[in-house]
Amino acid sequence: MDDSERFETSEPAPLRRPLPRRKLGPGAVALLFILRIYVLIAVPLIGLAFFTL
Amino acid sequence: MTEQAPIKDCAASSVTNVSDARAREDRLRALDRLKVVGNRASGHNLRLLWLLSGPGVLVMLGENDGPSMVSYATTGARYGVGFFVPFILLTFAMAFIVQEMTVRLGAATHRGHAELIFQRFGPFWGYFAMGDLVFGNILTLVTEFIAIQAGGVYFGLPAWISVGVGVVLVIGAMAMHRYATWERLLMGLAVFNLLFIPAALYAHPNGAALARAIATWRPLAGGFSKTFLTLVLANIGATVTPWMIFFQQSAVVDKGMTPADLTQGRMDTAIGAGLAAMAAIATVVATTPLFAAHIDISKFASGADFASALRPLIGTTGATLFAIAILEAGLVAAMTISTSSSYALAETLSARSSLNLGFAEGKLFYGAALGSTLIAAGIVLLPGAPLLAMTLTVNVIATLLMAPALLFLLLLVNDREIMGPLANRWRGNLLGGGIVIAISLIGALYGVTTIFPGLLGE
Repeated sequence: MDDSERFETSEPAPLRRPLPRRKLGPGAVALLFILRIYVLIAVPLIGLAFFTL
Repeated sequence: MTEQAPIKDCAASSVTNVSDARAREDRLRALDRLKVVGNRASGHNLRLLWLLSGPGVLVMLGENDGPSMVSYATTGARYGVGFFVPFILLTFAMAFIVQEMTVRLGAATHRGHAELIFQRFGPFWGYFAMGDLVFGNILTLVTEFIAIQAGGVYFGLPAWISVGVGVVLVIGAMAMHRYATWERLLMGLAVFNLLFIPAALYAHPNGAALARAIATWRPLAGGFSKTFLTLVLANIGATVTPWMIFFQQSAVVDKGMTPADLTQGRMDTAIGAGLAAMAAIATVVATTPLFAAHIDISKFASGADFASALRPLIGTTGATLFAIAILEAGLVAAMTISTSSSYALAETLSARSSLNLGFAEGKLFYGAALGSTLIAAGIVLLPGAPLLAMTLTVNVIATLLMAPALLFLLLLVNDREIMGPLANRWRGNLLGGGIVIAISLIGALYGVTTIFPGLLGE
């Protein structure tokens, strides 16, 4: 192993290219839809907590 | 150590050769990594573990923060040694399973959690994840400075001194512009979390009762009640929170860990979980004399109140150790939480994110920590600020926001395009998924019942 190879082995940072968007399957789409509903409920609750507690 | 000299030479020459092409942060990380490669090659396993430990220990001891230690102290004062001792062990086992996934994600992708959410799920979820984390973190930071202030009050320090020293330490540690130094400094400070253990010894714990509690999950004074359920939920909330996921994954990336380091990364997380569980149980044991003496803790607002109440029961030394550990709990958490905000903000906005950055290169990264720390400290020092309401709100926000954080964690760790062979297998999904669902539901229940206390009845 020469110097540059050893350097590359030790340095994982070159992976700087942005990753592509994930192609979502139906399960993931459904989970994210449920999450949107959860967020719609949770955000007002957080606001309520902040002003009432 | 015969290989160390050539490796250092190699580092120096390679770093010089590529200095034009690589940023300072990459070069510093590469130097740290060369030590890892050298120790792995020469079979120095303990030294290798020492070099690769940090993110797991810090995240677990960091989560033993001001509000968490108050939850454990309340548990000990209300229930003594019994059901909650093995329950705390269970919650840290759950925390280990969740945090191990972040180690794998960081090592496999070399990207932080916020960055991955942004890139794989798009800007909406990216900004949402970053926004809720930073908002929750600022409020949590307020509670950490409340703990620092309360710890200072025990020693007769005015609030502006203890909070001011806290701010200087948070900013001073980051100003060293070196991840490795920052990490070791925090690990040195985090050791003080273990002062809860000698404090517990001053409470003269009954070893047989402790062993019986672990074996039988009993006694449970008062049985199932609203207080019991609230403490169950608070103890879970004290063990797994959103900032932990973001922090550990980003720290693993900043440390430059690779799939080859997974064994040590897992050991680091397990050691952190073990130490944090010991400190948490020690807190329960240390406050058990309050339970035995039937002390009313309903008006206690901070960890310092527990330390003061313990003084006549476990002595000045034990109570002082308890107060120092409360101070440390707030300080280390303030340092880790402010850094998790920095990582998340910079990763989402495609800015550079590393504690190896110089200030000029990392204005956004350091600015996020500096800004959130100063805002939180300022709120604590504001006369008449609703600190108690904020503490309660923080718990609600953290628990309500746990579900989205865990869901993205599970989706990412199952993403075979980025995880390759390190993606979750069915056993991991069964275990991890079960924990994610349980923590999410329990967390949401805790949040909702805190806002609507009448839901649980009397």
